[in-house]
Amino acid sequence: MTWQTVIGLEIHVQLATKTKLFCGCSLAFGDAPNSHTCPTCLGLPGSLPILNKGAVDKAILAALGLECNIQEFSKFDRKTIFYPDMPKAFQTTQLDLPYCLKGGLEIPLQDGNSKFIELNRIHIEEDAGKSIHDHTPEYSCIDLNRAGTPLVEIVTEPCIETAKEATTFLNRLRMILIYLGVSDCEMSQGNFRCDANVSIRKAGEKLGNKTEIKNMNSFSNIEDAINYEIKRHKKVLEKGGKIEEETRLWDVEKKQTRAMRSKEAVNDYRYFPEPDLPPLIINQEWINKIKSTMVELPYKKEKRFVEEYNLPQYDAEVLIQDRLLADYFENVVAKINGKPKEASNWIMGEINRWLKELKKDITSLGVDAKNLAELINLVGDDTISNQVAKQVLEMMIQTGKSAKLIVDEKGLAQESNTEELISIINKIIDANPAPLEDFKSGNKKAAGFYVGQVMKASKGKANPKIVNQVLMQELSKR
Amino acid sequence: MNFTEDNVREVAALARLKFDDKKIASMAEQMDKIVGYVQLIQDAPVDDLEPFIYPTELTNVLREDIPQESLATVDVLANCHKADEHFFYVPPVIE
Repeated sequence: MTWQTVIGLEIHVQLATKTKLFCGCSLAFGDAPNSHTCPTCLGLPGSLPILNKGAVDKAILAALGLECNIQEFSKFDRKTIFYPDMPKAFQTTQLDLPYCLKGGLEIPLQDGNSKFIELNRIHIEEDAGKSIHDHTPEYSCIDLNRAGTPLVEIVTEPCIETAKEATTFLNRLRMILIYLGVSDCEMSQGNFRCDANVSIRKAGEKLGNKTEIKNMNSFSNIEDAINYEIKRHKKVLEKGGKIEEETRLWDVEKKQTRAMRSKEAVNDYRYFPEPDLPPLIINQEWINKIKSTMVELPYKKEKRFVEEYNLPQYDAEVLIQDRLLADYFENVVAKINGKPKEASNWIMGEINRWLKELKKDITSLGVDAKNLAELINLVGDDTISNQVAKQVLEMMIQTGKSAKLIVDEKGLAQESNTEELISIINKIIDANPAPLEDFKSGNKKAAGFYVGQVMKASKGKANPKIVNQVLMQELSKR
Repeated sequence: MNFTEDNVREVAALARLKFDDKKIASMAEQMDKIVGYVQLIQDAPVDDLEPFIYPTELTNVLREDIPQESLATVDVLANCHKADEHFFYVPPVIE
């Protein structure tokens, strides 16, 4: 029996603003509980919400990055929710007239083709506070610092067919939002959260009953949870059972989903228009203003890196993962004499290794683009060998000094003075006649012994290319 | 009767309100009258009209993204039924 999987995603993204959506309380992750609240986000009587323009700016940016239709007229609605972490007893969100419709983004498939994942809508809404259940046994504890945090909810069409497609889409989406500065998208801090609606059907039949999976806080969790749920649906349906429409939680320990609550009918939220917030009008002038601040999107950059710098696809893919790193690469390329690929090799290799080891980002490593370019140029003009350059980089990171300064101070420049080299080589050959005999009798590998000795005598400063050339020339004279 | 006792039970459950049977019967009667009264609106001819959502002409009432001072935690928690120095305490929420 062949089943078709249908997946739709809902992604909550915290907007990178300084303040909450409807009040001036600052946003601060990890601060003391209930230290960022005011009458508005506490839902106290008489308080009035005022929309944060900065949040709308970020929301427009997200819509532009995902090529959506921004709606000129949109409004806010109240969604009734009885939870203590929602002190107003409703969430302010957008129901029938969201600020943004359609759009989407293209993802690569494993078979080499690509697929457009279409969005249904994006709307602006506020986050709830936090309930903490393990602080004391008899009570739940409430922290309202997060209440009123600005979010956009991005809703895809049910057009995703595998768990892998879902995570590929999420990866790309996340990168775009980070690039544009819409959000930090830190999954561990909960500012990029994804719920998945999963159902299966036989080809050509109408959509099957769906379940919504929550509580997946990493991409691998999302993939595991969706795959688990697909398998569970198949098992139930093939036994002639029925899938209950419900919300299920992913249990990361047990690697399974469990029912949380039956999915409340839409009417239960008793939506109605928010009378305290006038409608939001986003005109073309506002959109153009935001558009003018947009940076290049990651996948356009990737294409450009391949075309403009002649980089292999793999290099471009790695470099664009981090916008700062991609900018760094371009700054280095602008200052080196050699090919862009050399800069890419250094950044993907040594620089990346140090970033990981020191857990730093490129702005705090202490090696700016000019300094790395200088180092690469020192290798390019044979002043130092690649091997020595790696040591110089380490010293640059430790001391913050420039490559040239370190090479000068430590006397690391390669010996290219052939006359001096000829005399060193001949001394070494004279002192060690055995390999010479080997060499003469046809064992060309015997020359390796002399190369090693010369390098040792020069303390690594000799240029291995030149040593080889001169050595061959001197050996052939004997 | 358009508004039944079952409707009252459903709405009461959603609003976390508890009524005894006698109260439910009287609520149903009252709600039916209220709903019946506004039923008139349903008959108004509105087919050619744009939906009217807001009674004012105001749009885009916005504020800049600039932090303001929040309340002191001690004041925030002052009127709470039960709290410690950091948290509101509420009956356990079990899912």
